[in-house]
Amino acid sequence: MAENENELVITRVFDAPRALVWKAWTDAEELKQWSAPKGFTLPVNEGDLRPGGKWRSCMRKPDGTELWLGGVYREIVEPERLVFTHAWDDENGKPGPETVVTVIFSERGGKTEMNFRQAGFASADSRDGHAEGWGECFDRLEELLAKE
Amino acid sequence: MPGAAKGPLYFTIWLNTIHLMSPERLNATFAALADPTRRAILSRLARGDASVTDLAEPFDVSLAAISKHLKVLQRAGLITQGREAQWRPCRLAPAPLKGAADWIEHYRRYWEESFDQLDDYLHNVQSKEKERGRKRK
Repeated sequence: MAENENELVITRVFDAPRALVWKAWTDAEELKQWSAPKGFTLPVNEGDLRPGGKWRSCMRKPDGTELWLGGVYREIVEPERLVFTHAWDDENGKPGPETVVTVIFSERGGKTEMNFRQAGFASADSRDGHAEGWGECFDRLEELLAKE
Repeated sequence: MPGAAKGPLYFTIWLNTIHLMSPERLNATFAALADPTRRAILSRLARGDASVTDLAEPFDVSLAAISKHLKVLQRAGLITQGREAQWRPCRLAPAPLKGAADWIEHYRRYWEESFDQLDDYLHNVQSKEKERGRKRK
């Protein structure tokens, strides 16, 4: 499928076995260590890893303010395919516009290719903001995997 | 965390706007915009700060009526009123407009699709016209 205005596609190759990359994406404690951009932290992260199970995180901005986000797991095919919805809470603590994240992991001679797609952005600004945010997260994931 | 890395710029800017998309906020923004006098006030403020008297000048309504409109705009977060100067200048606060624009932006693909359909229609009409012209000869 071609990339369009409402969709973000990022492909990365990590120098780590697929099982480790899968764990980094599905283990609540591991996610806390990489799933926030530089200067941001994820003080709360929990998930019920099964189709229909919910996940919830709190992201703390560099200025100390906190934003909540969450969604629902749709597909879990260990260790190759993960699909979940993703929405930031609005100012009343209710889920805002929803996007759908699909991550596919493929073995590439001892390395792992990650194909990330997030679809359904309400605006190009939102997509571009996320492109930068996820880009930094994946840099951190790369560092974390290098340590393991 | 003062002094820590500022974080990614576009992501941060975007994060600052997500709370502008709540239903209550959108209600207030669109309600404020649903009046020609209030839209004219916003247009005037887009050119620079102005006093209440300045803002009232082009309209054939009382200063009290203008004050009411300003209150609606203020409650919607679309303008701020300074306290520093005697004339308490009004200033445009564009952030909620970004929330409204993002909401509308979501529908862009639909109107662009209609333009594509119009394009197809015009092509078809033109080729039929040519066809007819040839037959007449």
